[in-house]
Amino acid sequence: MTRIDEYPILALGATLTALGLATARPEDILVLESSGCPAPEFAGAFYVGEGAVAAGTPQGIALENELKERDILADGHYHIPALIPVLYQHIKNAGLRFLFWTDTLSIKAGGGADSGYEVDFFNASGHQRIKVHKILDTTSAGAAGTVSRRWTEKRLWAMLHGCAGADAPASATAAGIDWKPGRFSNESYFGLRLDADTNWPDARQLLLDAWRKRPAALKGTRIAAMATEFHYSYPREFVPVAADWIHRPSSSYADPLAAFDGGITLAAEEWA
Amino acid sequence: MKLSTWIAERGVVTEPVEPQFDTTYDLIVAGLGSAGAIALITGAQRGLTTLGIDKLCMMGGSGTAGGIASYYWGVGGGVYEAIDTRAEAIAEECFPPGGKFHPEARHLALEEAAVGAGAELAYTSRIVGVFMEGTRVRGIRWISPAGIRDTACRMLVDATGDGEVCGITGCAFIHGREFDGIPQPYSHVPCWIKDGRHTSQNFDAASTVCAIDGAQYSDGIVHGGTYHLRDKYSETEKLLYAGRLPGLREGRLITGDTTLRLRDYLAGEMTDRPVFYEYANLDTHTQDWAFESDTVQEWLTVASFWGLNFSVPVPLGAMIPKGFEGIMTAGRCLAVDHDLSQAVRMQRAMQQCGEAVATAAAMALQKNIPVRELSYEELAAELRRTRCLPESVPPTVEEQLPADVDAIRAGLESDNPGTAIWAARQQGDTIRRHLHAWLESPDTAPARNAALALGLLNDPEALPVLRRIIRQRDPYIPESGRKLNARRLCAALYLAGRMSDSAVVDDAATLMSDPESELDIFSYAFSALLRIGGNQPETRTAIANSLRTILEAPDFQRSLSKHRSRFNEPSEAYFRIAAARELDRWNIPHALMDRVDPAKLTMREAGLYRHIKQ
Repeated sequence: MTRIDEYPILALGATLTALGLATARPEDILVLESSGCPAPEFAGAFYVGEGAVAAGTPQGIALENELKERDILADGHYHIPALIPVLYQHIKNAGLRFLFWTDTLSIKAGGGADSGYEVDFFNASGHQRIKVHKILDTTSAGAAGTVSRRWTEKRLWAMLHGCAGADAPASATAAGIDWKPGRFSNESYFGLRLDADTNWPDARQLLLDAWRKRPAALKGTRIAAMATEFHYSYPREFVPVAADWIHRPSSSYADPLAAFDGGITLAAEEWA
Repeated sequence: MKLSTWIAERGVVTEPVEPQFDTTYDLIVAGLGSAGAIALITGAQRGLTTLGIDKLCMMGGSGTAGGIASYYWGVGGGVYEAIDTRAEAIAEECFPPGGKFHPEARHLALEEAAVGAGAELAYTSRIVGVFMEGTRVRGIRWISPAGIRDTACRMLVDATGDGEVCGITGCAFIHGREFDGIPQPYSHVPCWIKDGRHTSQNFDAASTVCAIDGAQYSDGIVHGGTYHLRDKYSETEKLLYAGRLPGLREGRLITGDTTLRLRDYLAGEMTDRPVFYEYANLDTHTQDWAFESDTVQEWLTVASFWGLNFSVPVPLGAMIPKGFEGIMTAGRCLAVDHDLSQAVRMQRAMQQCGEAVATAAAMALQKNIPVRELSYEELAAELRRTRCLPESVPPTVEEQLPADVDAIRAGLESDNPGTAIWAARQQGDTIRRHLHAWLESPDTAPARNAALALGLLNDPEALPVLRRIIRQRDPYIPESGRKLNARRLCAALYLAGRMSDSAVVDDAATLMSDPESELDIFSYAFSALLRIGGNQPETRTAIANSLRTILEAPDFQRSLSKHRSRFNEPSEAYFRIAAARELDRWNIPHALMDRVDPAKLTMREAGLYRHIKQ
């Protein structure tokens, strides 16, 4: 490796938390994301949250207003996939430093006090190395091999097309599945809790089977699409991985706007 | 043993290592897209121990995560047919209708088949290094959710589409077209439920991305994603996802034991030992054909053949990287040139490519011989048994051309003159005197089309009629193919430029000066002037003056109109940079680059700029 770029803060995962952090401090943040899309923990996971929370920061309020104007958010319900183009636009307009389709290979202490970390990553350009002073890991699974499992629940969600019956919430609960309404009357989300080690093929088959056995209130629905991220529920807490390196999964927030606000707030805290 | 890695800005770097492999597989398939998924399934079904690795969490590539579910060209037959049938059943049971197939149902069917055959799947994983002994691949280093792993294999198949693993291994490859190094545009595909039906949108307005530059790739994805922003979303048009997998049409193209070239194919040089067939049109999505190769321009512009389908036989050697053992490719990074890559990349054919590669790998491994030594007859027999090689093959180009003079004459008179023009090109001297005779009455279709045919033969007898077409700004557009027919005016400009006809310089400059000239006319006039000036030094001063007057004007504006004219992409800098390159070669001073801000270039312009700087 020859050239090494240096950044004050590296954020892992193009999550809403990382986006908030980058929005607040665009010059200081580099965000690495292994997929091609922002907000994997909400939009990629088809996780609409636990009931929309009003934004508290000016940037969060601006995002909330935009989502409402575009009919992506109304009455506390999200058309969650539509977050993606909104966030692409935000990243582009603000000139934020995001590297999609980029995998983190290793993180090593730089050696010596206040020496930060050397981070190796891989993308279409090949191997690259950067130096960073602080790391905020916002991913659900944690950077490879660095974070022990702290999540409390793992789910796979699917977006449903078609109108659900009025007793959908109750009958879903009775059937042991999760169900949440979306923004539109013919949009809802169907989720299944999984064992920790359930892999993708098994998870999909389990979800399909659960949908096949869906309660009557959901008989009028079809599967619009399955998520491409598992949703992990986490207690909301900072967990230090090492000095100046914390794991704060964005999926620990109950709402996309709360996660975004969380990132904005983090930018002003002593940690950053 | 050595570990080969790709280091940014350095390229391939090798270091001696003594790896501790965790496992050995017969076959590892990198990339589980259209080709890789079928390669993995085929290998597993044939009894190989197999591991499939993909960056995504699903199989199927462009046809599933990529959302391309309605562009399903190619020849039927092979392992994939059963999977398509199963996908149809799943779709009918679980998903809304739409498309030629349902992408969600397809990836479920692929996964069922892979797991059912005993393949192991490693999702959200990626190869970052290749272990080698000399030029033989022995294993891989890969990043998985559990961390870095080193795994051995007897055969590695690069089905990444972009030839990522071949790049790491050090295989030779090309990337992009000769004029500007730019590959075909990519498609940033959104998927929707629209009025109750699943639909996806092939979306080229996203421009180009570079498959070998991580930052540009990422920027291109972000740029493309912004196009799916709506003022309002509604329940009749619900977005499902966008950009799960960018629809790249062209990445690295390896150098194979055999490398297929369009010009060779059109000259009738094709293998008699195919392992699969492509059957498609020259499906270029570039909008500036004036900067494609001569072969492509002859085909697309002069013959107006964008829509003509033809079959291309592909030999196994096109999937074997030249000079390497233990590695093959499957999918669109196979050994074709940029020109032919615009045809040989369709989903059905890539699926058959995957099957052919895995079948060859399995037979070779089971015989314990190098895949290069595998008997073609044995392999072909097996591929015919599974119908990967079809019993009857759709026609080649030659098989669709008129043969006799009367038929050619009739074709030249019709509104579908392409096959006649091309037939005349192929017949050459045999028909030349007839073409000369048909030049009489220069304002008639036979004369004008005969001139195009003679132009393809570089016959100066064509020039008077070509000049006339240009001077009159002939507005005619033939109907030689479905969609995207080329103007006769552009064909004439191309041919006159290629023959370095200085007599058209003033007319070409006038066309460029006219703000009403559409981009294709402008581009062909521009390209003609560059060619003429390049070959006729006495014309350079006049041409340079014209180009500078037009392109250095502060109000010069030209844009690419994309996606049914809904989006326009600025193109001024592209022309300025291209002209600057030529004027520099001619040693003529200019101020073209004063108007180019490298920080404000579009993806396409930046591609040309980088290409020039290399």
